[in-house]
Amino acid sequence: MTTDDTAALELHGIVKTFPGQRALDGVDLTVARGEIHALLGHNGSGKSTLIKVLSGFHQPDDGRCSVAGSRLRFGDGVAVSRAGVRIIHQDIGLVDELSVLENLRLGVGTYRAGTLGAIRWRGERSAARARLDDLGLGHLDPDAEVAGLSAVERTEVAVARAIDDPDAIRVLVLDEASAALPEEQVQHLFRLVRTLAARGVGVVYVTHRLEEVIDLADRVTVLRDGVVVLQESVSTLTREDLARVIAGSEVGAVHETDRATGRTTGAPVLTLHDVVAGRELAGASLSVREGEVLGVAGLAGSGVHEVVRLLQGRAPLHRGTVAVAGAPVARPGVRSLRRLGVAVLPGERDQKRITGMTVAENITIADLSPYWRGGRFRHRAERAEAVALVERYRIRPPDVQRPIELLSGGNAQKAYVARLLRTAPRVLVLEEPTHGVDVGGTAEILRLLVEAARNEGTAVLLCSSDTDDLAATCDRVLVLRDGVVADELTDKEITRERIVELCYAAG
Amino acid sequence: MSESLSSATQQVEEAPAARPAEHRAGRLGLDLLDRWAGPLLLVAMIVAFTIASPGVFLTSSNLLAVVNNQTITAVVALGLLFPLAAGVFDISIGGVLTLSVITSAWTFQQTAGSMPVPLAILITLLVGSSAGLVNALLVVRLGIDPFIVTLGSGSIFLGVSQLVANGQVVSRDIPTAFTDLGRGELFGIPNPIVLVVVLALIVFYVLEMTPLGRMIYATGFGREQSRLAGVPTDRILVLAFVVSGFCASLAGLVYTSRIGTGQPDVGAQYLLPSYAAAFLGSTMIKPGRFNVPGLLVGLAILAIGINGLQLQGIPFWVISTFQGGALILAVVLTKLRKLSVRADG
Repeated sequence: MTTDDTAALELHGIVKTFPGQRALDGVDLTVARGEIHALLGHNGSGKSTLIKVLSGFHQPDDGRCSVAGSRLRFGDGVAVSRAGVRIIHQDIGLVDELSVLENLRLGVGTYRAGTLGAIRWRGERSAARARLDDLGLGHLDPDAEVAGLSAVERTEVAVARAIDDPDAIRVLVLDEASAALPEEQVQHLFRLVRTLAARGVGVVYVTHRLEEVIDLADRVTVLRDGVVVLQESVSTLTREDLARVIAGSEVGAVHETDRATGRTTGAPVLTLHDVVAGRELAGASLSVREGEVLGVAGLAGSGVHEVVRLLQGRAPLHRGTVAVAGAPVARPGVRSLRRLGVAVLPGERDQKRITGMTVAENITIADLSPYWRGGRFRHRAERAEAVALVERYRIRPPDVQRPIELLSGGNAQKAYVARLLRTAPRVLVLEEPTHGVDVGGTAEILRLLVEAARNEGTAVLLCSSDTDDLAATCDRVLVLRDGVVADELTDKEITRERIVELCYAAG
Repeated sequence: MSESLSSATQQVEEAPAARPAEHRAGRLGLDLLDRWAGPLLLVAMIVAFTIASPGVFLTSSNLLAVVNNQTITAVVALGLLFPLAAGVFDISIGGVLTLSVITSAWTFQQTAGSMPVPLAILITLLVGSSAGLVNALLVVRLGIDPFIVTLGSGSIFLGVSQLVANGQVVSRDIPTAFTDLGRGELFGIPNPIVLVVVLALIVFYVLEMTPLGRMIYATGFGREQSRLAGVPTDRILVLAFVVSGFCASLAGLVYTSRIGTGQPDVGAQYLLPSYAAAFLGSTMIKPGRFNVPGLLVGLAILAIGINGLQLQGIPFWVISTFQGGALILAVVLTKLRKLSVRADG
């Protein structure tokens, strides 16, 4: 067998288990030289774990990997790179303040230097020029500052940087590289990917945009729950086929009993009308009622995250109105929204955790007024309430004096939920509240939300990519696409499959 | 959100197992040592110097002098606790102190001593608080790094002081009614010491016993997180800088009223000991937080260490060396503590 017949990348029987969960269960993936292979799968399907196994970040429990016919040892990032594998993540890691040239040379070996060690910029510049031309990126100026580039140009720079030695590159993995790109710019990226594939590089293209798969890829692999559920040539497939396969076919009503029905008659507490905000929202309207759990689903870039940022008071409102209890909020800012009773649990941990303070202090910080009696802070009353909340929300270990950073992700998350619910908000907005939380913790967090809605009449906006959570708890689910509310599901229509299908539906 | 779309799988976490009882007892011992190591060190130093310099160190006159010498630093440092607890540096305090020394002396000199003492004090405190307000607005409104803002503004305050003083010592027409304040006593205790005790109690009360204090600490530990949780962090920062400026000018008043002259270069010498004491204090009593009891013990360690060594005949250079060493030691201790907390988790 000549070397040219060997596959660029061959993953065989990859198994990876995390405590309480099998993330990958015997995944095979072969990418031929010059092939563009799309890798698809919804939240938690295992595609991200698979990439991390390939990059050397995760050590798999079982399986093997070859690049261009030679066996690759797992868990060794340097060996991966030396074998000619390059991985580009969505967060492409360019330094804005530096030029294209400086970014291309970032962290890669040494510069060409003259006497006294001074960099020979002219030589560097012409080398960069040649490299960019070679990749069909002649429109990029090596001296341009990266901050001034368009989104796709930045991605191009990131790819050009990864292709430091065109002859040595065997496999290029683009992990959601197009997620931040506007529709019309994606074609530029496609051209670059095709150029590389034409030279025999095997490309693994991770995306959630199904039309890109149809346009660009030769073959496709779909993962669901850690197994390959589809692996074939793209030419015979339609985007509807793909959406169906990603969603899965089994009936996914998980714990239907949690969901109350008919909770769609209360007065609207929070209303967004024709909202254009931040970078993503392009005329979205929605309304959540008293005592209702409203799910908001959508892929990255669909506007779900921007809804959360808007209600935090962090995304600029360009057009439209945000109204709480019928009254428009003139300038939706952090303080004004909080005063109106809109409480937000952001997805990012570093927006929630006050490191260095105790569990009790983290819970009570949102409102200290109950402890301010007779001119002094009643530490004992604070402690008693924190102990009661830790007990009620089953935060483990039940030690309110412990620094918050010593809690596990799930328990810390329950503490942040307690922080918000303690203030008896009118509207509770949660972004990925069960992300990274184990099964037991997830069930408890969802129970707390439903209780708040049912017992306190809180309007709950559950923004989640976990379709099981949405299906299990929501009275209604809205699906966002391209910055607008594209679909609404109620009652029996709310199933995991339906939500995923609509997330991936065409424009 | 795409990160969360795809990476939920590798973040399953489990609560750490409950700690065995004996381990917990060991931790309690360590916690106690963590909190009280500083005060213990202070006691050990006192014992050692008493033995090393018999009849000289442990006398009421020596100890009173040591304490009295620290009053200006103590006033500056108590104010400094506010910005430090709120997570920002204020290194303009030396400049503010100088500006206040010159302002108070100059108001008397310009009015040939006819300026009423309370009015001179009020003007000085207003000048100091305004200086803090300028810092605060630059930090909060324009979002400039507090370290850079106060580095620059401190130099400006010093420059303005030199301009006002015309580069000379301001000492004409300072009334005895004013210097009596700095040199007088209350029940046999020098006034500046009384001031420090009162100020320490107030600062302790605000930081430890009011919701405001809790919000100051929260701002320091996580400004953005606290803001999103509903803490008015901008207002907290403004308050912190104003209090810091106010206290620095209070210290300036203590200086002028005690020395009776205004020198346009006095402030700088109080900057380092204030920081050293505050950081040393943050390693004890309530480790990890800038706190008043810790600050006072830290000040005492610095003062007694220097005094005891000087009584041993170790000369002038010990002051800077000791203070700088203590500052770095304090920061190293804090770092080690954070590492051990993490390893514990």
